Amino acid sequence: MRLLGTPRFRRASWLVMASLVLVSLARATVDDGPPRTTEEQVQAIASTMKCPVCKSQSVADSDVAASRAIRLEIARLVEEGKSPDEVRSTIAAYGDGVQLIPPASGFAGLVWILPVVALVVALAALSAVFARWRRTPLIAATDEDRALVEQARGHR
Amino acid sequence: MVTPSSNDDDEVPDSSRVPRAADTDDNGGDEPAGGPRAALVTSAVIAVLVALLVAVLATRDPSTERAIQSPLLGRLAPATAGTTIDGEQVSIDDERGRWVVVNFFASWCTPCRTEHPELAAFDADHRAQGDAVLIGVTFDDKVEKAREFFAKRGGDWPVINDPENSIGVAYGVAQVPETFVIAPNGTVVQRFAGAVTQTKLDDLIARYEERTTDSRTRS
Amino acid sequence: MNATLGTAGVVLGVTASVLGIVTLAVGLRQKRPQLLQTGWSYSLLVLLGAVVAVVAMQRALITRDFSVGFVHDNGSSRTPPLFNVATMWSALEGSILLWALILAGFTMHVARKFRQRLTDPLVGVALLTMFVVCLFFFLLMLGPANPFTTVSVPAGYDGPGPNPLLQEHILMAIHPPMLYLGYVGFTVPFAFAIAALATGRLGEGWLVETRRATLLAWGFLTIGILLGAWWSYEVLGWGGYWGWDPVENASLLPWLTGTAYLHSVMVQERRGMLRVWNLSLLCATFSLTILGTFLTRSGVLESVHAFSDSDIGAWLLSFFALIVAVTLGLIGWRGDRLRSPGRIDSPLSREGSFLVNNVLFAGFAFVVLLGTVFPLVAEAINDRAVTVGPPYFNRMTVPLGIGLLFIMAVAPVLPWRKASGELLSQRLLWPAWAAALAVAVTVALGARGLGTVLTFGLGAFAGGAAVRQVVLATRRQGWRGLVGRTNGGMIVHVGVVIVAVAIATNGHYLREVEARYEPGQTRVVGGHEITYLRTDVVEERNRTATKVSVQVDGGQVYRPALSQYAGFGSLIGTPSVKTGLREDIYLTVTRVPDEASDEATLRVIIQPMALWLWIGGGVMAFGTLLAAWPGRRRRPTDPVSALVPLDDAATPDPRPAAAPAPEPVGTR
Repeated sequence: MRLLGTPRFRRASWLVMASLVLVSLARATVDDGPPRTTEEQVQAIASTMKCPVCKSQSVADSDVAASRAIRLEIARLVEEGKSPDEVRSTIAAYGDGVQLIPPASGFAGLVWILPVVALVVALAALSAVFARWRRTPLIAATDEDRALVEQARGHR
Repeated sequence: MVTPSSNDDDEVPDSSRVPRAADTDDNGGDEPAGGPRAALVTSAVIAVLVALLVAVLATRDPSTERAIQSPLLGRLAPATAGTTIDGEQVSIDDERGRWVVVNFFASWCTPCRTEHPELAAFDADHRAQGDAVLIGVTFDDKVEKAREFFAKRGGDWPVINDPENSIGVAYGVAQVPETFVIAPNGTVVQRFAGAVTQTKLDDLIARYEERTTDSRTRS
Repeated sequence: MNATLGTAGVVLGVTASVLGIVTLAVGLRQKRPQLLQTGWSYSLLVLLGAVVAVVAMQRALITRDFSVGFVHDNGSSRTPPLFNVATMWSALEGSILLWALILAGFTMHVARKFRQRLTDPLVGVALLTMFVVCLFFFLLMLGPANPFTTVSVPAGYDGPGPNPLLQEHILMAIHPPMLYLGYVGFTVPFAFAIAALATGRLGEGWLVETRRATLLAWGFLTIGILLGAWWSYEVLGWGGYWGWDPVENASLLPWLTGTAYLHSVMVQERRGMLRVWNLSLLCATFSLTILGTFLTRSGVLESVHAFSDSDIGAWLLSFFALIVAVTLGLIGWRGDRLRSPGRIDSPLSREGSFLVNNVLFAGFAFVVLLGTVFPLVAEAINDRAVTVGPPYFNRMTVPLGIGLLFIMAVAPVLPWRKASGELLSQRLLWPAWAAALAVAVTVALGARGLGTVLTFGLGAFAGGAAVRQVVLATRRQGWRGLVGRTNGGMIVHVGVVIVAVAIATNGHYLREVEARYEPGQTRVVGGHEITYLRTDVVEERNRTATKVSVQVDGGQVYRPALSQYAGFGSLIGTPSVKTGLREDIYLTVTRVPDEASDEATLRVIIQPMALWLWIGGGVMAFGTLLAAWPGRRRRPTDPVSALVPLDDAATPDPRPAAAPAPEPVGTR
């Protein structure tokens, strides 16, 4: 049991854990499910489009006639072999506002870029601040401190 | 420096630690890099951003009043063809050269009932003149109900039966009634959401005709 | 009579607030302590006004007095009694009344708690701030959101009743009060923050005083949000619990900054640092509650919360702008005084991890706010319709959530000031084993998707660290190891881990099938047998419900319905859910049989781990109670930082150019 507390055991533990986790994660990412059925594909595409009538529901979730009709159309296009992006651009008559995923280009692209910019700025600020703290010494006696000490000693 | 050995935050913090005098300058604490000026600059930047946000929010119309323009305007009308409720074949391609008014409706929809006599009058007028054609399309409706609707209220323009609402999707119909006006050259000129009146349709056609004759005479 | 009584109550609230503001302002300016003492009386009067108004409204609702405008529009003789009481907060004007009542209650609580120290200018300014907020909400009720208008009632009139979606389940009666207790609760630390900034006394005492109020406010807000998610799931019928709807986001934003504040404030108490962060987070939380209320009530954004438009939007937006201007001004002005006497020694420390925590939460709030208002900005600038929907939010917030899980695991084991890698390796060993095993086992059992598996792993990591902490504490202190801020906080973390794992599992493994069923037909969905039995039409007190009987796995019968509520045009769907530990079977009917066909269209959704969302929420609430548990009896609370004597004619200027007397850090 004493073995469990030693640094060597800990280091070995971490190595074993790291490899275990990496292998599993690799398997989880690569092996991400069999190709989907039409139903699932329609579901996936429909969940990226907004129901034109409802307040704040996707085509996948809502039951109104327009949504059901759009789902049928999506199914038809999927069976023709169209990719999700092609399906979305074919169903164009409802306007751009019906796409729940904002386009990556044009003004709307800002909504994707700004968070990334914010993240970069945050990381840069954090590392700059941490670096500055590491550079300056921890505690140093200032002249004021020395003066205080002299004062105290003088009073004695 | 003594590192507190316990992580219990409920313990009374060690107040015997001597704090630094607040006016030393060289190793500014945890505030943003650059000291107090940075705080002011950050505040100013945030103030500007918030002011812009408030300006945008203050000038928005309520979402219920936001009009949605159809992306079809100015484009060729989508394929509109099929079997009517009476069993005939009809297609707007056959009507090229004439105005086509495509009306999406359903028997259960109240504004559709309101606009029906207006459409009937429009159809009667223009059928006689031969310059415009009215075509109905069912949306979320059963064919027997559509037949009943017309039997009860009259009107004999062709009504395409669209059980899967695929023509509706092609036009971007969200809710009935919606009416689309297509010019003789096949482009969609206007989309009406809600019940239409004969006057609205006639005025639209008249205005468009005037503009095209003007441009023709000018060129 | 009810309308007059109610209006009288509102007028009393307005008058008492104005008098309170004026008296306190004069008392502070002219340093007259006896004027400051009146703050207590005015707070009582404001509360009295609120209570009178609420009593009048409830009386009108219960007696179905349709001459009162609000009851005319929202009450009904058909509404069951409990929902009738809750009708008060089912629409705009009444919910402002509820807000005013809670706010008045908190104001009185502050006045009572600090009644020995009302002459302290810090308390004076705090109370004055609360009176200003009270005034705003009471004025709303005299202006755009007046619940006590009078209308003439035609004979035999019966109102439409509250929105049917609010009558489906009893917990809906509790959701708005919980949310408001949270929103309003944050007003208290905010008022003290303003007071600290205004008086320049930025010591930590006020933080400690308001700590329990802040924690409880956060707890209520958490419960309110979870209740909203639960309502969305059980009642709305679209099959989900969170849709990144603007109104949902509006409630999440203050929660995010509030959570960051709750954590970061510990650094300020302990070491007097991160002051600017804490003040900013606190002011941001309060501002976001106002902005959120604006987004919810003004109608600029479409939402499932079907509130009617009114010009309350202009008022709320102006108040929001005012608050932001005042707080930015104060923080900018006091920038030099906000320097802390110490600094963070190492990024690998408790303080460092809380700083990273703040950044993560701030980023989270930024993304949610950006996504929510972006359609409006795009429309203003570009005049094109852009929709930002759930796929965007999910994509952006999942990495942030995973980062937060990681911090949640590492921060509790980090000591203050500085840690070594060796120390971390020691303390995190067993939690890390839990994580590695979680990842390996779940992947071996078939779990896929990087985000999902990472959530499992990091959830086990964070949960392991939390459990380790509690185990160590109970070993040291017995049952007291379960209460108090740290240990209660660890229980809350366990709750968060449960919620995170439930969200990840549910999101990845949800399966939905919509199909037509003939009477007696059985289909197999997700390993369960779904049988459509029959349809019945049931007349209830306030609705006509077409209920479809569905049998699941040959056992119990569930009855999702499509209902027509009297006074509401469209059909409202009600789901029926078979709740289970492993998964929920969620049933809705989208088409009922009619003369043309006797087929019903049923939508069946298999929702894994849905129940654990609510269990996790319960654990979070329980943990909050534990965290708010009073600690061991210590010496009585010291005065809220250095008292500046008021009646001393030769009072030194409280804002000296160079501060010769540094305030002790972290004094209780």
